[in-house]
Amino acid sequence: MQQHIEADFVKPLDAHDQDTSRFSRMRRPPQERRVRMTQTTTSKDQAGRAFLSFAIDAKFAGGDWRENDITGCVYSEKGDMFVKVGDSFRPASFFLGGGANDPVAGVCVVPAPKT
Amino acid sequence: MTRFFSQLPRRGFLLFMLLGWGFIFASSLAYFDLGRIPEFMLEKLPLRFESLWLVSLRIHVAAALISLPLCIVLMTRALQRRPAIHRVLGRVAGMTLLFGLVPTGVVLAFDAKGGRFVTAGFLLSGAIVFACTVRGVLAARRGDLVTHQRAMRHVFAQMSVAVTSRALLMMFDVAGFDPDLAYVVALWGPVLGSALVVELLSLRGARLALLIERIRRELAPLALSIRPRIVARPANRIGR
Repeated sequence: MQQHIEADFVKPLDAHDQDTSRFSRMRRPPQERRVRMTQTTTSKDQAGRAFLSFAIDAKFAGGDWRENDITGCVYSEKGDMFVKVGDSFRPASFFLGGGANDPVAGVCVVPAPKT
Repeated sequence: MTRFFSQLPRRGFLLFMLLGWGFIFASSLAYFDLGRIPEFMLEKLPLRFESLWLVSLRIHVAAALISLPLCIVLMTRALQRRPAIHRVLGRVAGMTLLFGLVPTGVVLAFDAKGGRFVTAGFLLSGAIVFACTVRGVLAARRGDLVTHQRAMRHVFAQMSVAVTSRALLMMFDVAGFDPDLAYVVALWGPVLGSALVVELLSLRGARLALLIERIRRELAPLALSIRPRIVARPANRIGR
């Protein structure tokens, strides 16, 4: 899963950063990114689909690693990735400039046990 | 030749601004693709008033892309010697600043990264632009060109922050500065620095005006018999 995130999200994200103008007030792109799986066993969302949470740390100018720069989850069946923006999760393509990707309800969240 | 070199810093600065405007223009075109969320917005999310923020960003960028080049040409001697064109372009620039750039800048300032200190920097810059534009316009209407020049220099100086701040951010990034600190310094440095430069230039101008006035007063009694220009700077002419 980690390799899948690196190949299908982190690498395109790095490439996307390279195309972005530096003459901007936008955050400077990190010098390096690393993927961490924050779960070793899968969880299941409301729809019963299995997913694993991940975090991406970023190293910026100055040399310090900023942990959890991006957090999200990847679905083990189809490899769909979602990233957390605020309190909601959006498709990972949201960060790659792939159009308006609205928040998706119910993904990456383990439903609260019924009382 | 001396005149050419004395004008060099001014012309160089205007050229630097024009170049900076070109880079900003190129990197801002993506903001007007209405089907996509601008990348600049991604790092701001979640926003309390997402639609208002996005509309403000687009108006702010459009207003900046119009007003910055206008301010650059308004600062050229060539246009200052043509009052009719200067007046028309000045009005367009003034309206764009007062009703487009500054109000939307205020909206965006509250979600600026870097917290309240950065917000305060943007608000201060906006306040200087607003107050000096109003002051400069009123001064021009009553024919007080010294006050008009000083006020408009302040406006242009704050407009130039858009370019100098971005250039500093790039330099800090290359130098490996901490990005959070770099963002604060790259904003407050140009905001305060450009205001200071304008004040120093105005002070120098005021002193020069006082000096000229003093020379004029001292030479006044001689004016009937001797031409002051010849006393102030004797001409090496033979005959006459």
